[in-house]
Amino acid sequence: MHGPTHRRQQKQRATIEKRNHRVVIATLNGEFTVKRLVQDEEGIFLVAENPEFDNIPIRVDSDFSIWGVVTHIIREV
Amino acid sequence: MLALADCNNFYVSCERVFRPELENRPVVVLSNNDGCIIARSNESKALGIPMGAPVFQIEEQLRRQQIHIFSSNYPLYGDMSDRVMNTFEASVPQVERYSIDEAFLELSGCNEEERLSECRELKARVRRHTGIPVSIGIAPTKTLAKVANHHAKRHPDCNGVFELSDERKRDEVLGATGVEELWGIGRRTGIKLRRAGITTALELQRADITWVRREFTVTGMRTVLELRGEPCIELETAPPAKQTICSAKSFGQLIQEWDPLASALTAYLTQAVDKLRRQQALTSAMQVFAHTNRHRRDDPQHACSVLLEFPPTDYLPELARRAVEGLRPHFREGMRYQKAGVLLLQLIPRSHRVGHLWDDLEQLEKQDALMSVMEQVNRRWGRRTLNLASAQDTHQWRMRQHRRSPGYTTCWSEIPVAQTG
Repeated sequence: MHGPTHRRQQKQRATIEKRNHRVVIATLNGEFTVKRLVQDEEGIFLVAENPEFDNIPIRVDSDFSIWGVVTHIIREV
Repeated sequence: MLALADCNNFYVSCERVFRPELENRPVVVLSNNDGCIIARSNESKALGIPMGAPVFQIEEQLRRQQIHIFSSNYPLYGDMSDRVMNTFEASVPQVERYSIDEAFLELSGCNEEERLSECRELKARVRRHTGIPVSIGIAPTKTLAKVANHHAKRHPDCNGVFELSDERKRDEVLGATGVEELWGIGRRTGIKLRRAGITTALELQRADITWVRREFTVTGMRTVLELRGEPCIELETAPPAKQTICSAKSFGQLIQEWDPLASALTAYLTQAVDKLRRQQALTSAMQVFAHTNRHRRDDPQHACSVLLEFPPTDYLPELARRAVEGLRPHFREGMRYQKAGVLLLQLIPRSHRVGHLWDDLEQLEKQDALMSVMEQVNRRWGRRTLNLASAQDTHQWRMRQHRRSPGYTTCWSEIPVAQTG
């Protein structure tokens, strides 16, 4: 189907390119998550910094949005 | 050229920013004390939930249709509103904050195409910065911008942005707009116009101007001229300072004793004084009142009110003492009070304080320092962190807000959490 959905996907792809490899706060299936956003030939993934966690593939029908890009981290030392 | 930018279902949208799973699901927001429906998502509108409906009347429907219900969370909406407005202000030359969820904008684009793309970009930016969806109506006058905005919202093919400057298009849209839907036309004026045979905005636009002026005063005439594309109502970028400040609320439950009533009164006054100090003003008179619930026919009724005058001040402890002592003699034991409030009057700019020879300047400075510290603490750690002791005993009068969302953006302990795992 062309039309709005198609356009939205294109737009989403453009946004993701700009944010590729950045740490983002995203909403996935109604929950907030902090992950690294990665796009390669195989698709779009949310990647945890902890290697024990599996990458989460983002599909066209995923309930997914990028809430914001992480630019600073405040931590207690 | 002007534009009216209006947040879509604003209160619902604020809640959804932090509850993404509620996207595309029916949501409503309730008024103070969880009384009536004051905001609906499009899905709730489609299910036939009427605006303003008392909750107790449609409780069954809300449950059956699994409509998600929120108590109103004004600190959240106020803060989100600020963020939206800040984005407007950073993007266009002039902004009039018209209400919590609407602003008039002055656009710089020279032609329709430029303006449309300017507004589409702005809409996307607000969404990106705040998560709030907005609709924008563009037109040469405020009244037409309102109509354009309405059109943008109702017609999905506009994608939330619509310009109403071309005359042919303008008249077509005005022909499809009921006269009572217009900005500045109240219910009574609407009825009067219909009686005179004017039913659409287009008919009003084409009405005889001297007749309109005679029948509907200069306000009506302005509306007609604005519909013709002649700006009569200017952009107000610096809102006029308020002449009075009111803070009054119904209690969560009826109050029969003086102490909780005095406590509620002090809390409401605290809010009024906060507004007073924000606009850098002093008050030299206030009306303090309380009354029972008029709708409870079987209850004995009582309303009391007292007007107090004093030298100009913005010092909360002094105002609280005056308010409480002032109303005390009028309070009647055994009545079931439903509501109380204060109205600050005779406001003057703080810089106009007239010093008296025997004013204790050191005392005034100390008072001001105390108020400033209180404000700073509350701004940083959340409202009511530092408060008058007499306003703290809240359990009897505090509003019923059983389904209130957290202060995601205004309270550190309630900030949203994102999972890393």
